[in-house]
Amino acid sequence: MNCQQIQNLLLAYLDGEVTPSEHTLVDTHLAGCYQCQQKLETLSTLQLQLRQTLTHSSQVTPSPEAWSHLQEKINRTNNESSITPATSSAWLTIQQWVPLSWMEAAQPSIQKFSNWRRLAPNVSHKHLLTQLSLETFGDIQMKKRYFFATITAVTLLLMTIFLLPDTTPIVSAQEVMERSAAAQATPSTIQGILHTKSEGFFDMTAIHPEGSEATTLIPKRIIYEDFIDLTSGNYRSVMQAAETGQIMNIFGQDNTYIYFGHRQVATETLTLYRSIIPPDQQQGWQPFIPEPFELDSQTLFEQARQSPDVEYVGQEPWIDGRTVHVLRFKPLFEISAEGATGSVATITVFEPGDEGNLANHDIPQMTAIEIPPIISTMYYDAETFELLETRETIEQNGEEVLVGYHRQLLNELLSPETAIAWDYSDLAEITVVDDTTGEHIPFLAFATEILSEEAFLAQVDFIPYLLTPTPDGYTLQITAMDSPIVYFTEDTTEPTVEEAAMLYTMTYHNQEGKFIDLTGPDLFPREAIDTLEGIELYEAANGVKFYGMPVDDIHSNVMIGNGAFAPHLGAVEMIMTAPLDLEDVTPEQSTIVESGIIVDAVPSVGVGPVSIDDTITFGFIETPDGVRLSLTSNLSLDEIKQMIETLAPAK
Amino acid sequence: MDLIHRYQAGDESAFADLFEQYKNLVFKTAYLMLGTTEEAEDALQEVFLKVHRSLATYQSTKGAFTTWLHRLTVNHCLNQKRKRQLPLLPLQEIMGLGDVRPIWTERLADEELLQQALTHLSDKQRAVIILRYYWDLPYLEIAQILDIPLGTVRSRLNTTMKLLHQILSKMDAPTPSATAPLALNQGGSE
Repeated sequence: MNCQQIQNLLLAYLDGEVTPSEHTLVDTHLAGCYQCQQKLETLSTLQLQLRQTLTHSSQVTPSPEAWSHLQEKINRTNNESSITPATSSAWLTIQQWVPLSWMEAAQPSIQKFSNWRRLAPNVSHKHLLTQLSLETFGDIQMKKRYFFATITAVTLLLMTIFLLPDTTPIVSAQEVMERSAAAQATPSTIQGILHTKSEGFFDMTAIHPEGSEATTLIPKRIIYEDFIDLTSGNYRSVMQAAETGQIMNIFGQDNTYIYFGHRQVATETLTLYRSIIPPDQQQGWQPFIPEPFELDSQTLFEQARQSPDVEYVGQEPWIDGRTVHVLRFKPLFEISAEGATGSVATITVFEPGDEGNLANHDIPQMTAIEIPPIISTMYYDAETFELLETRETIEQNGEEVLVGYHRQLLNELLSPETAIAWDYSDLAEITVVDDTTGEHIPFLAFATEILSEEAFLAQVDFIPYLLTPTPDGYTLQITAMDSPIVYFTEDTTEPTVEEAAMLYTMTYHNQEGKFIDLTGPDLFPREAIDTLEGIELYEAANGVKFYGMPVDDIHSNVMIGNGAFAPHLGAVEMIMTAPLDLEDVTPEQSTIVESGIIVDAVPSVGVGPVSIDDTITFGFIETPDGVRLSLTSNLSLDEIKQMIETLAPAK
Repeated sequence: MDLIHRYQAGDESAFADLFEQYKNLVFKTAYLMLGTTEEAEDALQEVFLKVHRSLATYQSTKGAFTTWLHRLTVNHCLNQKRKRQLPLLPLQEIMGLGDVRPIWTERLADEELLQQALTHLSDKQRAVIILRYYWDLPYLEIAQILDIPLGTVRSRLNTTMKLLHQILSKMDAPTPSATAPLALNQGGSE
């Protein structure tokens, strides 16, 4: 071991936190190294001084009234919680929100937001990573499972947040959606056709060597070209392999049709599906015009430079002789989750040190793979402040290894009269197929409907079990959502749509904010449930099996939001917006929310700092007919068990 | 019967005893994290409110009560700190910081300097330092409290100590930027 390695052990050595073999290593090294002896002494003194300083600094005691104040608060809280009304509209919002979030998460190869990457690639490598990992490994099903699990947690967090007695103002999902919609409805002040072209490179093998076989499916260097008509909203995006020019992905819309084509295997021909935009979805296919476009480059650069996450490296000569400013982001930790089948599912950004939280998401069959921290370096033209390139590197064996870059090739505003083939008729190598049934529309619309009990019983295709009678003080709300499960597998180029088309949620809630929520049919693999650590089986007299797992004091770091995209650090960052208590929105996010520059409102789920101190039970019930529903509730385990005893077939 | 079981068995007075026994644990950590007695008082109230809400269902099999209490406290403080506005610093201060060389000097800090240096740590770094060098908790318990892997505790402590040393060196150095806010460098490269 060299001095550097030994020095990394010295603190743990002093703290008595090294293994016996490390202890021996350090002892042996110290015996012959004066420099390390000095460092040990320095550290030891610093430790001593820290202890003294902390002890002297903490010569404080709580006020004598602390206990009486606490008693008052407890009494007040008890009184408040007994009169807190349930927010009925919250339920609707939750039900609408969750399936959409899943859908967004599960969409492969969607280019809808690709213009964001073009305009501001510096932070968006997270999205690129996610997208590429999807394209690369093609296992959307696994991703779906991940998100299913996450959404359970999120649904519940949402509910908890809605139902927690609190007097601070709430930014509801609905409100943010409305504001977002308003922001999007505002016509752009700029006219013309925005034309961007950029080159992306991403080498997954450097980060995750085990995935190297799968990565050969897609080219490492890709050219993205987008056109957006800032007035009509027409949008055209093409993604090509840089080496061969072969088209990999197409996504666009011309206010009549949606165009979508995806090629996963290099040798296949690409079929471009042309689907008529459903009449009720006209608005939904309009690309939003990004606000950052209207911000000047220098402002964006200054914002980025002043961020605490960014280090200003200095000026350097650029490839073409220009001078560039170089900014470097603090390393981000990217975590990948691996399914039991070996497929890599998703990559999520955690704050350094938060890696452990993945394990707490209770994701069946998933284990986290630690990925080296990724360092982003950005190069800005020193005169125009235009962002020219972003590079992602990792450190391997003391050297910086390039894993990806995004380089702007073109960013121009064409005259509004410029002729663009929005229908892709200029592309020769593709086959155009009219999708008369709409089944190839990439963003499948999720209709959510509140059903009466009668309507539910009339249409449900499994034997539903309901709490019979409905518990005193509880109200039942049933929602149905159109929920096909779409995924690509590695050996197919067409998405597979699973059979179970409808997903029902039966929600019982009372005025005190207690709820029990059953959603199904649940398609989790059976074996996944059995392997969930900490899950307990309870068999009710009515034959219903209940697998439950109470989770205390949730600090799951699940960020919830409606996935608004907003300018951040001179780039585009997905932010948390709703339906959080404003108090829980971090300052920078709060600024974004309050300044009303939310520019998109695609519900989604991310990772972020949300802590809920409540005991929530996750679980599943299985009826004697073999139907499985997932369960979440903030009731105690015993209360849930009592309720489950009253489940009875409703038809 | 311990206090928690007494409380769970219906003895309300056990909660008062519990508060008396552990109020300093919460208060002192909160004070060291947040910096004022007012905020520490608030934290004390909030944390024990949470304890009160959850104690009925608390299961000792899931970990020591003090671990849980430390966790509630640290999480509360981190949340409080997050709510505060992040300062935006002028470029020259960033540039000034860029001059800090990651060297270990033999000079050691006096207490006042060290106190000042501690304010420049990130909240998470501060938390790990307090848990280790104020409460003398083993790494494993710190990992449980902060909900991070054991290896991260080790690396975070390492990074934080190195950073502290850098900050102290910088503070001692007779340069114009000696008093520059150093919060920018928080986080290091753990």
